[in-house]
Amino acid sequence: MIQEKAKLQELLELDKKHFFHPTSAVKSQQESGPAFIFTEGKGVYLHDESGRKVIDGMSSLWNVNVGHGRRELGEAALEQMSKLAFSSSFASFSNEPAIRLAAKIAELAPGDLNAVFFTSGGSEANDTAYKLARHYWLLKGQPDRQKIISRTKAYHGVNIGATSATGLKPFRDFTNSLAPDFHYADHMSTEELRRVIEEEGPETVAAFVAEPVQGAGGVHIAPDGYFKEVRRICDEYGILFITDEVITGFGRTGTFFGIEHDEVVPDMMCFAKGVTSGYAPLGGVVFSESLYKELGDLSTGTLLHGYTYSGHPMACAVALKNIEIIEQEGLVANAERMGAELLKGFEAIKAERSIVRSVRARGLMGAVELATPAGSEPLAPTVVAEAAKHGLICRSVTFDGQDTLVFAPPLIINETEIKELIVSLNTALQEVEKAMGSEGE
Amino acid sequence: MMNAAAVDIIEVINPATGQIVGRLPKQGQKEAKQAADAAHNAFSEWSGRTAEERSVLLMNWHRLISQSEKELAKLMTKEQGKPLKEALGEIRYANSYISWYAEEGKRLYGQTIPASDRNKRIIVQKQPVGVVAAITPWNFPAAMITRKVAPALAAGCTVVVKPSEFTPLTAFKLAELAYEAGIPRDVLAVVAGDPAEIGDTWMKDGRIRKLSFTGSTGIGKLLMKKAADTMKKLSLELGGHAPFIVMPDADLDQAVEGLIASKYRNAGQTCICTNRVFVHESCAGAFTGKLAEAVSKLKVGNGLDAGTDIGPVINQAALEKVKAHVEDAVLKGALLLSGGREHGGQGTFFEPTVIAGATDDMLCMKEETFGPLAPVATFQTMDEVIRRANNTPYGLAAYLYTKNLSDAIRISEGLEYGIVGINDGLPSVSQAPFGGWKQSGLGREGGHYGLDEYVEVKYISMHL
Repeated sequence: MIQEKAKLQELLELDKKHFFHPTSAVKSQQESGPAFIFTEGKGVYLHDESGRKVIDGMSSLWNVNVGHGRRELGEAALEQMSKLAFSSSFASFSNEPAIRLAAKIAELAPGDLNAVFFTSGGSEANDTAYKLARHYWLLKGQPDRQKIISRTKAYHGVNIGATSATGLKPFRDFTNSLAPDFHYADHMSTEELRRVIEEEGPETVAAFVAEPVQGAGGVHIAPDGYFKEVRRICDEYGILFITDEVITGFGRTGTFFGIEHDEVVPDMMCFAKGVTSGYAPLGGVVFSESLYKELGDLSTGTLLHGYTYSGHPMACAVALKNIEIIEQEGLVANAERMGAELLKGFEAIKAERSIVRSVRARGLMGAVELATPAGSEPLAPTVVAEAAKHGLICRSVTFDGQDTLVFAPPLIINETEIKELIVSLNTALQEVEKAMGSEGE
Repeated sequence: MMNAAAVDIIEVINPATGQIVGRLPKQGQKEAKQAADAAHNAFSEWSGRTAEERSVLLMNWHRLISQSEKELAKLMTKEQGKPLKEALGEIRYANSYISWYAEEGKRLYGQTIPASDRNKRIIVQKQPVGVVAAITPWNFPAAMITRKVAPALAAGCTVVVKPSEFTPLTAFKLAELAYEAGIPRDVLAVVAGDPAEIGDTWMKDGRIRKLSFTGSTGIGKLLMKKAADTMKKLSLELGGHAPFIVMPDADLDQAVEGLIASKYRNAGQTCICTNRVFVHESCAGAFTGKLAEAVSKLKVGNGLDAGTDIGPVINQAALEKVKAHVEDAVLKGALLLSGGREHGGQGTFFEPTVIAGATDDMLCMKEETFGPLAPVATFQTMDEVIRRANNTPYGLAAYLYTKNLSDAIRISEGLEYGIVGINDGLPSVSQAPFGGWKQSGLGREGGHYGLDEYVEVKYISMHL
């Protein structure tokens, strides 16, 4: 016991001193150390150094789709690393896991999306899509098509290109110089998209990029028919349509890919996260058959784009195993069923908790919007802290005046665990209401 | 259930179907007095028999009940509604009191006490109290009778029983078997009908020396007042408001199982049913999630159908009460997780219900619900949960789930309750003293404590 406490203290101190955390409050981390030091995960649960057990209501970063502690994924990695841990995919070198994974993703992806370019993650996938879109127009002899249009509240990653495409302004304001030629249309309106295209000049627009359901921006579901109209507009102006399925891919929304709800096929599709359920870093872009062919036909020399870890054998082997699990365990259908349960729970909470304004979910991506009291700070961060005390990890979104809690539990979640999540969330909301009530007295 | 048009008949209604399952002549003052006269006249002969002789008859009765257990269970399910497996369980449980007291009656030991004078001797004897009136409820139509009648008969008392007018059929059937076993009709009588008339007749009768009552605290208080005039000895098993405490280290699956056993048995209509669930805030989500899921799988239906877990509640008034408690809780901010509605159909069914986020201002946290509703509240510290658990006039049963021995002892000692189940949702057995503190009643039933309720103590001081 004493030893455990000493170890915990040591880790806290080392973390504060040496571990510069991504997307964290730097000051509070340097002063107070990490919020959790996780030690193991099992199913939908995470355990930490101090003995706490919490339900991972975010699948960590929307990515641990098959849940924690899957030994078979570790075994797949071990087997591949023991045989061939790494080899290059540049200069047309290849390896079996990458080949098989590309073919598998082509089989799963909608329509004629058939050729896969691998990256290490979602940010790189987005940058790859934008760069290759622009490169395509160069090859096509339309060098003026350089602009990328994305949506307000969009989140596409933190590489320079992906940051530039991100519609959430604080991410862009974080640095003082970005990639040029990115523009934003209202995230719910195709008229606005048309207006921006017209304003910028259609002949200068390379591509439009959109998340089928916006994730980090607050789980926003576009109106019915939105994406059908987007496809029509892109076709009309000859603009490439890119979907960012980094969060929505691999079952998250109750279909294999999020765009399937809208029955349209993009020209390029970014993916990452759920492709390996986070067991290995991997992302990529799937290109339509025609685009892939055209790039082949038009290109003369070497494609000067690629990452060291593009086509990483171990990551690809893990992805293949992960997809096998998703298929064999029927996790896409489970996400749809459990998503309905989750929404039912949210609605029950909404009926009881006065601080809840509205709720929504598509598959296992859900949001609970809070009613911020006039003149007050958003409540969501307090609810998140309170929920952690009651054994639930979720995330707050406060960009653009939002006050929202978002959820994305692992796709393996069952009814009991959904109820647990709902009860813990309700308790946290109740505590916050109670605290507000007592402040008012 | 009485039919106003036919004043002389009790109609017994099956709460699962609304159908009449039995018609009985409605008895009153006249029959109550006749039974009391007979019991009074039979007392000296019955109390004069040896314990062994009474034991033989009680064991005969036990054997006959055992032989008819399926028939009795079915009859009980028809008039009371509980699932057949529970009815059969109750018959066996009821019968265990008969065999236990058939034995224990033989050990009604006295005492000798060293005197203060070398020429004196002090002997303490226990003698039967006299004629006993037993007034029993509908929730356990058999067990509440044998729990009183068996120790009374074993001690040498004669007994008049008034079962609930909702469930008299099981009572009369038990009496028939007793007569068949050789217990004289004057020694044990069942009178059913107008509860006020029968009760008042007995309460005014000075020859009835003892009242043993199981029922609501309200009626218990009324009977206690009425008993004052003739200074009857009293045993009162009254209402409860059982807390169910889950500590952070508890085995949650075991706790869920225990809660289901303690809460939903008999559709929540037992006086030791859990009424308030207190779960430590760190495991409230996990516990309540598991509970709600398990409860949503319980099958509601006619108790006679195979696979039924939850039968109807006894009548419309009972249904209205659960409904009102659920509505009040939801209005005050509780989160409905499963159930919450009438089940529909002919009978008085209510879905087994779990609510989260219960607070102490809700009716279900203040009053006995006597229905299938489990309100789950959270707590932070041990002292807090003991205080909240005790914050009620009731003190019958309490439940505690923990693996920590020190916590188990500290909390159980802090609870002002007559019965504490530690990791045990079903504590009732014939050899243990069942009974409540505070306004949950007086006296104990079961074990040697239960026999003492039917005797008077006499000490004899002899000068040589």
